Amino acid sequence: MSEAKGPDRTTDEGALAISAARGGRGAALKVVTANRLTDGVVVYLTADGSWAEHIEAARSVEGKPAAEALLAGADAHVRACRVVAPYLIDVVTGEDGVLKPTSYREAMRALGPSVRLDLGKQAGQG
Amino acid sequence: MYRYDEFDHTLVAQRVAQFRGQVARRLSGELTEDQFRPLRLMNGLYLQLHAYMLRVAVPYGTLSSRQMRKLAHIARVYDKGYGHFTTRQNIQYNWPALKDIPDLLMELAEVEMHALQTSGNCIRNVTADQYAGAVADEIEDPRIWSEIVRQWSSLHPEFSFLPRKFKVAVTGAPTDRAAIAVHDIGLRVVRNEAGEIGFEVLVGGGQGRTPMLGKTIRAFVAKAHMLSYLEAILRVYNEYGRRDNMFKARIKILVHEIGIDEFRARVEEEWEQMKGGPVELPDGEAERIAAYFAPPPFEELPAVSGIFEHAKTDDRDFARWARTNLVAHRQPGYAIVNISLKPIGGVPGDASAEQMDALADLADAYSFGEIRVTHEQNLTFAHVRQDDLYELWHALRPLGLATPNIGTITDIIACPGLDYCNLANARAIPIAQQISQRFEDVVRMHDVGELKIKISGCINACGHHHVGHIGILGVDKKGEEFYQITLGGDATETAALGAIVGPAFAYDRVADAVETLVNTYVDLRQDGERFLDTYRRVGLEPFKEKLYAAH
Repeated sequence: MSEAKGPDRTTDEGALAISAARGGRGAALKVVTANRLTDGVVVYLTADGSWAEHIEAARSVEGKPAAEALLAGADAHVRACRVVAPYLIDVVTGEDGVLKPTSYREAMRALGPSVRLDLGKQAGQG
Repeated sequence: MYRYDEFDHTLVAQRVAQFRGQVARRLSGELTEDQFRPLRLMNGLYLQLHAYMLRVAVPYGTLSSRQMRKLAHIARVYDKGYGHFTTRQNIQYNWPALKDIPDLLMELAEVEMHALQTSGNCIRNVTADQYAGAVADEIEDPRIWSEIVRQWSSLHPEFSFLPRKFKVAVTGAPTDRAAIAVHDIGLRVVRNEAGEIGFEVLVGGGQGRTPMLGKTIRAFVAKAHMLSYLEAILRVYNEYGRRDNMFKARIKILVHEIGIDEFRARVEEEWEQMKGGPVELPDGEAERIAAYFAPPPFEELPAVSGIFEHAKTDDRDFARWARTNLVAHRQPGYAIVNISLKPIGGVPGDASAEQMDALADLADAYSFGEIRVTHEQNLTFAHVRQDDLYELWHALRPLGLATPNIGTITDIIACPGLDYCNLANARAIPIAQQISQRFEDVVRMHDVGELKIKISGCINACGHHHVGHIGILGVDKKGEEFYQITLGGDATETAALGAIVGPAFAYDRVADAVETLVNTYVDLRQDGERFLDTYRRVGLEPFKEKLYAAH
């Protein structure tokens, strides 16, 4: 029967979309991520101290002291009610030069649901 | 359906106003996140992987068409055009903004809905059999006592800060479609030897990281004393339940640790002090509530509809849908219609705003303006004239809502998993999609017959994997998604917890593994045996042997 189907959510594409980066250059790089207070959108701390919706714009640092300093800098944004619960994540620089999270969870946050490629940052949304 | 009285209206309106103030104070910085988190959770608002998530209560899964239209409106205006129906018979929105939540809640209140007690360590939304008031084997409509329990538990001052969350499910029939054995309290309407109607009470069931089946604490509690008995159970739990370790805080752990006999003794002692006291319902109140659930104005119809029978003969696709998606109704000439929210390759439980609007219109046209949400993440029209079934099916098809798969291998429960959930270790939805696509062929699907697959993306078991005939649990193994398979689980009146079959499978091997299990069943089954029957006859080994020989 000609049953109408849901949107095309080819699972291979989904798997590809969220596949987290492994190894690569700068495996010890860290960036700070959080959720924006007003709407919960995933954001990343940038070099100019603002918050960007896309991980490409994040400031990455290497080494524990630098990472801790970066995270400490986010506290002011928590107090100013810009973001909620900032934390550090591991990233690597991909072959295309773009920062990529190393965990599935963070890859999902950076892109959007693997089963709805029309939603989230992968679809150009916040 | 139940309609709010002045107390309900006032209570919900006051809570919306209160939360509006709390949100304003959070946005202005007057409240920190640590201060605000418990307040937002009390109003059903989580912060998930991508955004905030709002869980809206659908009491015992019953919705009016007006409410469904409002849910569609909210999906369209405040979210991204869809909602997700859950195993708790609720609906979740995955993308609302905090700043919009007070307005959203005000709109919900307009149609007598809210998000209260959909989170937090309180008594959560009461769930019930989706066929309430429609099936022949029902002793009494479970919605009546579900509503009484809802009113008793709403903002109950003594039980708003329990050791952990608390879930109550009610079935009015011997056939259990509400999974009462895996709830903190399960209520089954029964008739005693004197012919009186009351409840068998189960306690201490649950899933999560320590799955347990509920035990009968009392074989019969008269309706007149039901609330005092529930209150006694909650008091004992509130006093003795652990608060030092959230993983050991559910009532199932308490019942397990002190034993059902000791737990029962403590409840009985508590009950003796309050039985017949002010907590019991006033005279006439149960009858007043019951009146809201009086049968709709059914027509006098012949038991068999010629239109329906001819359509099944003439249209093979309709006959297939009728085979899986219809259930016999107790009123001659009517049927119960299950509307699958499991299109092949779709997201289990998701419905678009357009589908919700269309369903509201169809419910008005064909089912007295009422819709039920099932704990298996489908919808039900409880009262449809058999004469209208063919027409309704034609209307559902272009909406993608006529998949002929209820109870089959493609009617899969899946939690949101790592695609949406902050707690998940692995994705659940894409696994469901892969299995669904593998068994897309309707002839094969129907030949395999009843087979309940349930998938959770973490040990919290929101996808009910412990009680799946085939259960699938996503785990994280050194940063990779793996899936542990259990067999033999059962959520019905013959409840059982599944047994782990062996080592976990990689993400891209799960559908193959399920196919091996299905082929093994097909080879082994005897006449009339469902997957679960064959499993119970032959045990785990034949399945395990095939599964690991093949991989």
